[in-house]
Amino acid sequence: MRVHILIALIAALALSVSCGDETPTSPTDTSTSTTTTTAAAPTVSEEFSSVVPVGGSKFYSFTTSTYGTINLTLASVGGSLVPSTVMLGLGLGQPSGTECVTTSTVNTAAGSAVQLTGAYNAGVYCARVFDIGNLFAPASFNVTIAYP
Amino acid sequence: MTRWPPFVLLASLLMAACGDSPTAPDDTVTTTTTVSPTVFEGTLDVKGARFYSFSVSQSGSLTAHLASLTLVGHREVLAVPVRLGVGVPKGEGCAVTEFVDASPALVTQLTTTLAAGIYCMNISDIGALPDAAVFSIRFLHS
Repeated sequence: MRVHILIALIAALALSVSCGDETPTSPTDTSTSTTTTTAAAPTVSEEFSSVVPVGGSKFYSFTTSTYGTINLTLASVGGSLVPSTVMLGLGLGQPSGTECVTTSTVNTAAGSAVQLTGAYNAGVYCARVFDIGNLFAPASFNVTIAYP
Repeated sequence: MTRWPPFVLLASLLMAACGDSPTAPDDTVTTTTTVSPTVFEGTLDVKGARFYSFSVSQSGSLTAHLASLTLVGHREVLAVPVRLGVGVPKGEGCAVTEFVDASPALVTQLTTTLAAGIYCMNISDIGALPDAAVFSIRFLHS
């Protein structure tokens, strides 16, 4: 009887081992492939000129044709009771509902250098200009949007 | 009566446990995707236009209708046509690619097929609005 039990235990052990998943083996060859996509430079430029109300915002939609760099420049700000150096919010995002939902924003005064930039896939995007609490009167502005 | 050695019985059990035979599922699960309508409401000025942007996740059809149109401050349905359109957000508006001129009705008035992407539903006055009106557009898309 003890012999039977012993044999049964050995058989169970052997079968349990054989039930395991296949033992992984090391790959015989290793090859690594890295694909680097270069962001295309802007080739299209549009001017977004409008007036942002006190506490409000305005946005402008555009479509990029390929993965590439989008540059936004708040080129000028003006209006009665609005100093040209006032800082406004400048954002980049995608239109949704009746708004432009921004994923990247910066508070900036007008200038000639690019103030907001990034690489984005082809698609529909929007540039948004908004009052960050500095305005006492509506402000006219001009934003240059450059994209591929 | 034959007396089977325990290891034979145990081995049989374990061998059976090692099998990879698939078994039929006991239950059938059906997944149904329900798309809720989007409601775009607002006020449309005389000679004005309004738009609403939305994202389409996969190619499919879009259906839309003007559910209601009333003059601001009134409850009676305004039975004049306005333009419902679908397009792509562009500039400060919606660049409409398909449209229909319709009065309020609870039937589909605009149908089109859209690929994945960002689009806009547009409503504009074609000259029939006597005054600013409150509108409600219902649309379904994938």
